[in-house]
Amino acid sequence: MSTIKLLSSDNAELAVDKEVAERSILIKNMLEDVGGDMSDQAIPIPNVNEAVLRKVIEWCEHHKSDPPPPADEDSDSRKKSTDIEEWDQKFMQVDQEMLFEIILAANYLDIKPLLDVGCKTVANMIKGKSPEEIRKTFNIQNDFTPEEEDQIRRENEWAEE
Amino acid sequence: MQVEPPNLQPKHLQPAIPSILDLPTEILILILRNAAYIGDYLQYETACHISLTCRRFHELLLPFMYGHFSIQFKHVWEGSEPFDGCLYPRERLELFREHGRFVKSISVKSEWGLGDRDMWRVHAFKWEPSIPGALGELAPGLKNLQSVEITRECDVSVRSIFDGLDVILSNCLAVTFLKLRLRVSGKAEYFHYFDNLTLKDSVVKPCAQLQKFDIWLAQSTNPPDDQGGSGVLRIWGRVLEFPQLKKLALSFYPQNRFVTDEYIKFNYDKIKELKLSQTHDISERELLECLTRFPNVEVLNIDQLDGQHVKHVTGHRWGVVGRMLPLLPKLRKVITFTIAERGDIEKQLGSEILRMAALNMSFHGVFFPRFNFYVATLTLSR
Repeated sequence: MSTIKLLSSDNAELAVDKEVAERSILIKNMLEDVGGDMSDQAIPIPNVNEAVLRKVIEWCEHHKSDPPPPADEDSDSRKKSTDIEEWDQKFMQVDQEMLFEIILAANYLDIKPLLDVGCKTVANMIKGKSPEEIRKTFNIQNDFTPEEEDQIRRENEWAEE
Repeated sequence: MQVEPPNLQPKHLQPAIPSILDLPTEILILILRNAAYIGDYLQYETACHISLTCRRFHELLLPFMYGHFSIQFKHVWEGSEPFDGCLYPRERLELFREHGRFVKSISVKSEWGLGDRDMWRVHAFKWEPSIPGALGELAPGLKNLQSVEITRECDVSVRSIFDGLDVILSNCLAVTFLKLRLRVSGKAEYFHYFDNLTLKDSVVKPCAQLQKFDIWLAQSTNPPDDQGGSGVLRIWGRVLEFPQLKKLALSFYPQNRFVTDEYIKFNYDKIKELKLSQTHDISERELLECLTRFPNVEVLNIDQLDGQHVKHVTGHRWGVVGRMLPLLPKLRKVITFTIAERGDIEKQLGSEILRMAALNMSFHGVFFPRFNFYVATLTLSR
């Protein structure tokens, strides 16, 4: 099995199986563009540091045999629930900064299923919480005036069927 | 190969992600969508909580909160004057008008009778406009409206429905999908009063170019009127024209299989995808007669070819596929639900069809009381 090298933003060179790295559509397309031969040159991943890149590779390793996601958006089961499989849940048990970094890396590297798991993880941190609890969880400032808050509360009531 | 030079800045000089609010908008939208919806259904309580968190979240939630507008009407008597009462307060209408650009789908519903549960609401909001009035106020702002669903269970006049539809289709040019669900009451006189006497013949020529039209008609009971005819459907003098339509879904009830002819005009030659439902008790002759109208159909989705789903699998209708082929020279796919097993279907289809077709069966669930339910797809290479 051929191996390729990835160069993180902080200059760490990581060797990865080609098959694993190709979970990233960005890398896959890049390799296709150069005819698949990148054995002697590391692919720079300028937006992702070593720690995050290692996490992303760990995820890709575990999911290397997953079937490709359905092309048809309508039948896309990803939209249907926020259930996350057990391994992914454990994988995502990281601090918020790392979680957001993984999401950004998945977005940059074009790894949709990982982006999805990341977004669902954050979504599950929002669900069932009051506005104040959401602010506390994510360290968000309440930038509404009390009048604005009242107005939105009223509008939300009318908007609901 | 052109590659970007690596970012050689030490990590502490690179932009950190201290807060969820620093995530790019498209990712925040993905997160909030996952949080606010279960499947396709917006969870209002969660959505309200999110929108009250901070300005940015509120702004991002607007397309979700106002993406779908539903409005419900009841037919009410006020003294001797009937009017279509809206069940929702004016503030709701105003709010959706203000946020009209976010509205992607709209559902207008008029329901059976007036239950005690709703009576106070209609009375409380009796100054509300009627269906065409309400939609007339809203429609000009619904620039991005794509999908319209109108359901008339009963009571509200057909004229109101068609006037409302007219308003939407001539104002909202982005509409591509229309679902019209009409139930006709058994009381012919009642309809004569409201529809026949007030409705003038006219042709509605919508500006919106529909791509898909789904129509469901039902006649609950239809006793003959004094003249001895079924009457009710004849009195609809309105005609809707959708000359460019390519996808059509038709639901048939026994008494009114082809009544669409009376008030809706398509260019039958242009229909490429056809979905037929409520076909279980129409005869093969009627089915084929219907299909002859659509000579260029490529994909036919039919709710079942089994015949009645009673007691045991009959599979007796599958032979009709062979008789469809000469009528539909461009047909390349037939999709249907079935409780028949593969062997039964193949037997019915016959070897000649099987030579040019691939049959795919995917398990769909268990049909009451114990049958396996499949989606069968027959792909033809002709």
